[in-house]
Amino acid sequence: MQPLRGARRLFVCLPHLRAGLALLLVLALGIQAQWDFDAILRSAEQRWGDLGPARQRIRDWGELLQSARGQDEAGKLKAANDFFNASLAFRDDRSVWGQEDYWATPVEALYKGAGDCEDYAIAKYVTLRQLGIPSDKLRITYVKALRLNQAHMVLTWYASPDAEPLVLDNLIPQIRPASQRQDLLPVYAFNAEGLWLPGPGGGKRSGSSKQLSRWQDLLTKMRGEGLILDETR
Amino acid sequence: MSLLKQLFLAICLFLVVAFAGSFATSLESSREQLISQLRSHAQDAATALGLSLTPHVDDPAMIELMVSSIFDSGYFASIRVVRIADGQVLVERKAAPGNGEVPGWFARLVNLKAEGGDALIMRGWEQAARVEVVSHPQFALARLWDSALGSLAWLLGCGVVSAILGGWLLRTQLRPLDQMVQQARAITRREFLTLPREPRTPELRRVVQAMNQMVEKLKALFAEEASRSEKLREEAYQDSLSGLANRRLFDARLEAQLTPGEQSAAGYLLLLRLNDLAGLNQRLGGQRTDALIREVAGLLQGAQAQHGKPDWLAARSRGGEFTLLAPGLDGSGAERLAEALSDQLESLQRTGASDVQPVAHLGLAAFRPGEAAASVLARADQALASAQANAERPWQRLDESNGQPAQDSHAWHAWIDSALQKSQLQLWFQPVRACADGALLQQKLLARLLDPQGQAVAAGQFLPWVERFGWAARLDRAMLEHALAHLAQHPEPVALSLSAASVREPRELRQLLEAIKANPQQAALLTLELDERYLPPPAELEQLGQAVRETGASLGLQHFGGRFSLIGNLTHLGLAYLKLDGSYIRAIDQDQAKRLFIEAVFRATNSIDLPLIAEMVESEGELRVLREMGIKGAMGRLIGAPAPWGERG
Repeated sequence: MQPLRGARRLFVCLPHLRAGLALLLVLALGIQAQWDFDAILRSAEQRWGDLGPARQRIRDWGELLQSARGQDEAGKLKAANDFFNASLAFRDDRSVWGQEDYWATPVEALYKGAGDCEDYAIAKYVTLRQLGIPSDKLRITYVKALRLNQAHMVLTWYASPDAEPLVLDNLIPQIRPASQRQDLLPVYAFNAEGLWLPGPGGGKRSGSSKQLSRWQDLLTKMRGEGLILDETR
Repeated sequence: MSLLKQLFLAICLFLVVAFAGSFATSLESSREQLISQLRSHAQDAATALGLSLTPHVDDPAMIELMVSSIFDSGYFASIRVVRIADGQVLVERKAAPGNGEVPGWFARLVNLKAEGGDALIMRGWEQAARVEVVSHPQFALARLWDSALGSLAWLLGCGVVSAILGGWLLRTQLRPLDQMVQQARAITRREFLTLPREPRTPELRRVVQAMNQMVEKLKALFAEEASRSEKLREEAYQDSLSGLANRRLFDARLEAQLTPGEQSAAGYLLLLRLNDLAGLNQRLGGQRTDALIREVAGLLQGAQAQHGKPDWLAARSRGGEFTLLAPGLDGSGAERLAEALSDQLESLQRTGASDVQPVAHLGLAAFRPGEAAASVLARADQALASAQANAERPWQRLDESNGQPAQDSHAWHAWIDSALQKSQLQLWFQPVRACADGALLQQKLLARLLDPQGQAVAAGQFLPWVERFGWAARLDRAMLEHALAHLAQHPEPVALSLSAASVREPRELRQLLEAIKANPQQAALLTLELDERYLPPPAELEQLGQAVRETGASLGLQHFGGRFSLIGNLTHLGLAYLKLDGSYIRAIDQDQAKRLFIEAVFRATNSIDLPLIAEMVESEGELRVLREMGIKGAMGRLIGAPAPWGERG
């Protein structure tokens, strides 16, 4: 029992090693690591068989990640927001996944072509992170949709830590500043990646993900699909 | 280091290594678990605090109150609330560092870092502040420490249990090994024991079988050689018709008896000659004459047994001539003996065994050490002749004309009693040296009593009286006391004779052995010597050997005459040596029969590595022959005469 635990620890270390190597490559070439969409599609086909129209959706997402690369931050935000608001139909988890609450990866969401509010927020977050927007500027925020009187989740983008955020939401197609979203009541925001570590250099973000959270499960699932998020940026 | 200890140590070492390893890995794994627990604890607290502070983000008093409530009711090293806009610390609570019950070295060894978590406090959409929570590792440390102590206790418990079990197992498994060691040790003591039970472990069983086989072989070899030497002894020294000693043995014994020495006492020689043997042969025939000869031999043996004197020697010299050598017998005793024998001879005539009157004539002659054998024999002949000439009675006594005035029993009694009481006992020493190189092997302890004039009197003179008064054991006790006192001052090997009385009386023997046992250092240097002629029955002898060995002393045999059958199981006795009787040593260089006999004895004893020591070695020729034969040691006037401690040559 005990050695197994140690071994598991070793395996857990391996992705970190890979992430470190990727970072080295990025520093050397000055470009963002690219995801291999052929491999991603292959593994998706292995899992689900024929993808049908979903194949094109995933390909489109890959092209978006390429094409939006050169744009400024506002452009990237708009591209990601528009793409997912258009590609995914809003349906609750029960009808899509047969579960009460399911956090889908972007590939899963695109395969189904549908998702609920978390799936939109997660897919946009992943896309923006992959497009080079630092995790410090992005927050997953729990809000109450006042008109629907429903629990809801959006992605917020902060130009600076104390700025008023922009809200990327699936209820309306446009990106609006938070002050114009009177229909949403913010409850809580969390920083999806990075961990603040105490100690001599206190207040710095560490490279490791939050442990033991649903977010961690999601990242693990994504890694299995070939989507490796560079958490150090 | 013994095998048992080595195995034991290896088991202990193995246990320690195994347990230390498992202890370390379990420590490491629980450490991992604790770290993630600490982290999630901190993160959960931060999230909860962040959520609950969000409605009160602009109320510093409320923030402080809430932080304090969480901080005071939980286990945290610190909780901080930091404003995001300018990084200013709004509230901070910190606990003094400390490890609680856990010793500092353990905390350093485990090196459990504080783990933290953080969460945001929102003002509407704005990120107002950040909560940073650090869990205190003290609790985790205390748990680790407890589990470390627990595993240590478990380790110790297991160690103790396995040490006890392992020790027990090893002991039972290796018991045959102990027995084999004892067997091997016994063999070095010349005790040839076989192990009755073969161990179950096959390796050990083979060794035990081999040892037993070797022991059996040695015993068989010894038995064969011993019986051969005994046969030789019969051929050389026994009269086949009567079963008595023959002329050759008689001559050797008389010679030895007359040689002034330790055991040589004065006494009487009885010469018995059948009346008209030639006529008897003609009238009664050879068979009836032989029967008569056997009857007379039986009479002599009976007389010897009746007097309880194994040191007397009855022999048939030739034809109808018998001799009885009776050292220690005095004049009146000799006459009573002659009278009794005459009566018994007369009854032979009445039963028709003989048809002449008297059946035989007896001549008695006194002898004392220093006389020549020929003159003693001549005197006995002269006594016999006068008996034949005298029809009045069939026996005559003839003492030497210039013999010393016989002291009466009363005088001896008074003198010996007072000498023993006042402890006017002196130890004299006679060396026993190796034949090969003359190295001193041991000192034979001899008793001397001081007479009223302060003169030392040899044992040969007073021993017959001591025995007659029943003080032999008393003398033994006194000798042992002196011997132990001497050994305390001069620790070198000595030999001490044990009288027949001491061996016979269990109470006396126990007393002697306890005195020896009380001085273990001296006991190791002491060899007790038994006389072949006074040996107890084999079973008792074996017990005696065991008892003597338990005291730490050794047991030897003196005046050995080759009668192995008397000793019984010599291979179980563990004797230190055999001392060959002087009768068989005197003039061995001129007597081929003696030489052959002693060689046979040597072969037998050599097969069980039992050393032989020759007594009464008087000439260079004798010593040379003994050396050639391989006899280990020698004593006698040639080697060294008895002397008090201060006057040894």
